[in-house]
Amino acid sequence: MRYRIFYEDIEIGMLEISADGNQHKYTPNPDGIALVEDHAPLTRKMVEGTNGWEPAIPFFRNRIEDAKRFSHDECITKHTDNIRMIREDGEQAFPKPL
Amino acid sequence: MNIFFNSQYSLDELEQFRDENGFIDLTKAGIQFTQETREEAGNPSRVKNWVDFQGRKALVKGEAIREEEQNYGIYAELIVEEVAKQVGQTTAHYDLVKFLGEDGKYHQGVLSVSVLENSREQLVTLHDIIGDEPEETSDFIDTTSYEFTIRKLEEELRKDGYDEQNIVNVITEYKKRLVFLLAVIETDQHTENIAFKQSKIDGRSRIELSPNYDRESAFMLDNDISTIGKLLEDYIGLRESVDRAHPRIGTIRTIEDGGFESYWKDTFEALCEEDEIYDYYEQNIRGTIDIEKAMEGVEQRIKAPLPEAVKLLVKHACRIRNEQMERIMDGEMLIEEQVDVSMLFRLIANQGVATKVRTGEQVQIGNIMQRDIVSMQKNIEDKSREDFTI
Repeated sequence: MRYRIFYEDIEIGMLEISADGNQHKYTPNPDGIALVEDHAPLTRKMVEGTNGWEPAIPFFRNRIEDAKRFSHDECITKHTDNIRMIREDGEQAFPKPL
Repeated sequence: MNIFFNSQYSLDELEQFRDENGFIDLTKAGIQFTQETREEAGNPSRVKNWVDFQGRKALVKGEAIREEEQNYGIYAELIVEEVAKQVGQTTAHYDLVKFLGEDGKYHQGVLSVSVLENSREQLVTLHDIIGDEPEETSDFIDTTSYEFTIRKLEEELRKDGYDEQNIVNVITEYKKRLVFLLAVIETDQHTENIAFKQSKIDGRSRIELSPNYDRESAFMLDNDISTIGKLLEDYIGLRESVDRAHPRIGTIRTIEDGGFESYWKDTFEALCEEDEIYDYYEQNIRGTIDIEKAMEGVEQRIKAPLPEAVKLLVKHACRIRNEQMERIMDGEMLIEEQVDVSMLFRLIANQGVATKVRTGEQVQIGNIMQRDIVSMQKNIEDKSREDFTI
């Protein structure tokens, strides 16, 4: 499973999730990062990416787990977040930024 | 798609919709929730929706009014807010609300104003940063070791490149928050219920503890109403319940290691071993909490009296817990109730109390002394048992 990661409406990376959900591989999008890094409080992993497959990143895993409880994990748009997660095979329409 | 319901009223203007019990009727204010306004986090059985009140965003959460298993947790949110103000803790603002749910039933709950000050801030929970604790270091199921949270938080913040002073400050504020939560007998402060605000200022990442929020389990008010009634008829039972009201982030130490073998007491002592936290407790919490004034503050805000059982429970539970905290800090918590320590230890402890000079370091020294004396006594007992056997 893969999620495209956005900061507001700018794509900043791609998150890949292992079948058991315990491993993440995150690849940043340098063009997107360059546009937001001056003002967006991103973690180092979101800027530099993981070193291949690594134990799941809690920030992303918590959001996916929460969304699954509500059966809405195609487009994860937590109200207090500027970061959105769009499942690659999920909803394509992108929500408006806050 | 709009993920906030846009209210035609500001938060202040909602006052006109308050009923005689202090609840603002959001349905009368024209507020309706949609699938998009619903927050998809936490407990799916509880309705949580976001509303934009003329520029100020707030989370509305509530449950259908039931005859059975009701509790007074909604009042805890407002009372803790007032106490937080007394002791210098930043806090989210709460109010009582009611609204008609999709099922046609009236719901009661609270409105919680967003703790974010601008759209560029990012709220992350402690759990978002540190993840799950490995099972081998956790003391109990459903709790997280205090030591793990500190170590992992430091490690992750350092990896993210926050400057050292910022890390030290945020961890100190986190420890103060834990002390505060012990004083209000909060039993549900798991790692999702403590959060931080991340921001970027002049290209540099900053992190700070978020204002206090989500305290409906404080002061034992998450018990159902019939249990509260029973507690209020049985003072000893209430004392025992307060004594057994433990946090969800904490530590436990054996009596041999200088502890109380009590999760909340050992957590409190561990926190106060650090001088700055000890000073925070002594200067900001000890003797500062005026619980009756806090409840009066709530009643003035909601323009209605709090239920009598709420006032009685909060008043007594708060007094019991805070007296116990004072006794722990004064070295007066009766260890001899749990273990027969020597006269020497009691003498030294009493001297410390008499001089009234206590610091975090002294708490630590006291623990080491207690451990040594207990261990010494144990050796003597073992020896005499051997002698007897022989």
